[in-house]
Amino acid sequence: MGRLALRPWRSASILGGLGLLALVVLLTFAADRSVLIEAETSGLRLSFSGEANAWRFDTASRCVLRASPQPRLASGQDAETAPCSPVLFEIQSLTDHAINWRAGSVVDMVIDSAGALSIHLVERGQTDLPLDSYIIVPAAAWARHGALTFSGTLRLGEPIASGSRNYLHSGRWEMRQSGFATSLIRDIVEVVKRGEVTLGASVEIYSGARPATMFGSITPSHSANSAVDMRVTALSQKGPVELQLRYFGLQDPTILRPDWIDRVVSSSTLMGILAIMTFVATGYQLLQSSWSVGRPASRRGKVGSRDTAADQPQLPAAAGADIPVPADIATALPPAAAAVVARADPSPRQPGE
Amino acid sequence: MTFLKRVIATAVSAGLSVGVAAAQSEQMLVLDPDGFKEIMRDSALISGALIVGAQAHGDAAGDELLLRGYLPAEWAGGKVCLMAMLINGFYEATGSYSIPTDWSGGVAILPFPSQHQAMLGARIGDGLSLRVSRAACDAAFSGEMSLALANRRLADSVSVMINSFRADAAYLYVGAGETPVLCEPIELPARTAFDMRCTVPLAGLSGSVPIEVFRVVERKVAPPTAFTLWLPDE
Repeated sequence: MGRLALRPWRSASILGGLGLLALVVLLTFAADRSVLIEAETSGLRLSFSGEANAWRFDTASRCVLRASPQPRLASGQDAETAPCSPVLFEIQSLTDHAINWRAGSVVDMVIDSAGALSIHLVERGQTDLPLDSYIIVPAAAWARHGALTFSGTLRLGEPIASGSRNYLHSGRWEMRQSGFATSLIRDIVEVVKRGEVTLGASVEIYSGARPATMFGSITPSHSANSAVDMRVTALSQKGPVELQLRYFGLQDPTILRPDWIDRVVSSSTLMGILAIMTFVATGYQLLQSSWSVGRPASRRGKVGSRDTAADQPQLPAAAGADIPVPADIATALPPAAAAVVARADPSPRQPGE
Repeated sequence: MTFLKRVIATAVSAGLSVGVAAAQSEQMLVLDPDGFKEIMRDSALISGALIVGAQAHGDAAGDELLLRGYLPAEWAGGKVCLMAMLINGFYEATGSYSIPTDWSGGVAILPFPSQHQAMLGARIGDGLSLRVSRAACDAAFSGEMSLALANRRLADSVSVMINSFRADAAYLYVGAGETPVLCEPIELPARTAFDMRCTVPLAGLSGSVPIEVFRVVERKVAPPTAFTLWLPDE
């Protein structure tokens, strides 16, 4: 009977544990997240998506690859001041010129050794520029250039190798997500994982097996060194995104994505709820212990003990029992008690009553 | 055929001096004593060479690797060096061979007793460069190369593999031709040892062919790199 009486507590404990587990899963479950990346780099590749990628240049040059480039004729003929080799390209100066990069266009952007921004069209898409064209923004113009915004896939830097000039210098990244239940409680996202990228890494953000669409901007960076590079800030689309880092000498990329522990540790909502639950559980346990201590030791844990009435001496009348009281005891009682005893001890009934 | 190749390779790797042997009417050179060196690295090699291969390759299906080289009659009695390199720089091998004094020119099998035959056989293609050059491997590069063949006997084009040091573009001139060949970036990850391929059709070419490679760095033309490529008669 006693073991049966403890079962509800065990069941409650199990249910409580399962409830807590469900709460953790519910609070941390999120299939969608986004990546924020901020980096300084002298090289990147952009694959544009959408139609809102219009860039305006105050001063620039356009170099269109000739139909029959003749590099052999270039020996000693390349003017040092020209933005491109005249034997390879047709050069045109641009002033207050806008280019609308259409979906499917791919450009390589680098800061060359003279500090100029070079934009090389490597896949034409629907853009009006011929393939292999360059847009060159002189160093002085790039240093005070406005932001260039974009939507599309992004690769920062390239795996550094002998002769590399267009590599990532430094950067940091954050992975943000809002859990399903967390979003019901607080309309915020939480940073579930963060880190830095080192010089020479090549960074891409993937959503599943495909590069993720990024939304960001490119601005001139004025870092500690004298060179003006590109500062890129971009936020990825929501989804099962992950960061892929490639380094010189490694064949496979390093993949970074948050795991279950990252989500649990970083959830302030979960931590708050767990703190409250811990407080409530501790208080309840203290109350239960003090209540248990207040009961007589002889009864605590006695089989069948249910109420306090059984712990107190009872008069037979109160119990309603028909118990004969010896005469010597009855005479020893006080008058009131004796009267009760007398009422409780009726005379033997006569036969026939 | 496969069994015969294995027998030949085993015999050579065991150090047996078989001289000029016949394998299906093909001649096989003798690998010099201690002439084969093979390095499998844990990290990539930073290659300093600009021209790392001139080759034609067959299919990468299977794990067989049989290397041949065209050796002109002018090289008779001398040495020849075969260099193989993976694009990621993790693997490099060199083999020095002696050419018989009575060599009349033609394609010969170059024994390649690698411990990584299966791995290399699976990577035949743009990821594996092969360079057959005049003079032994421990001598200075002679500037003369010939056609290397992987798992094939004939070729209608040669792929010149170059390490452009991340140039914007590269152009290759054949002889006195006025129209250069535009080299193409190799679309493989970890392009450490080389990064571009220039495909040259062999129609109309034979004998000693001067080659010039121009790199375009920051939209300017860099000084050319020249070498001589020996090709079989048509």
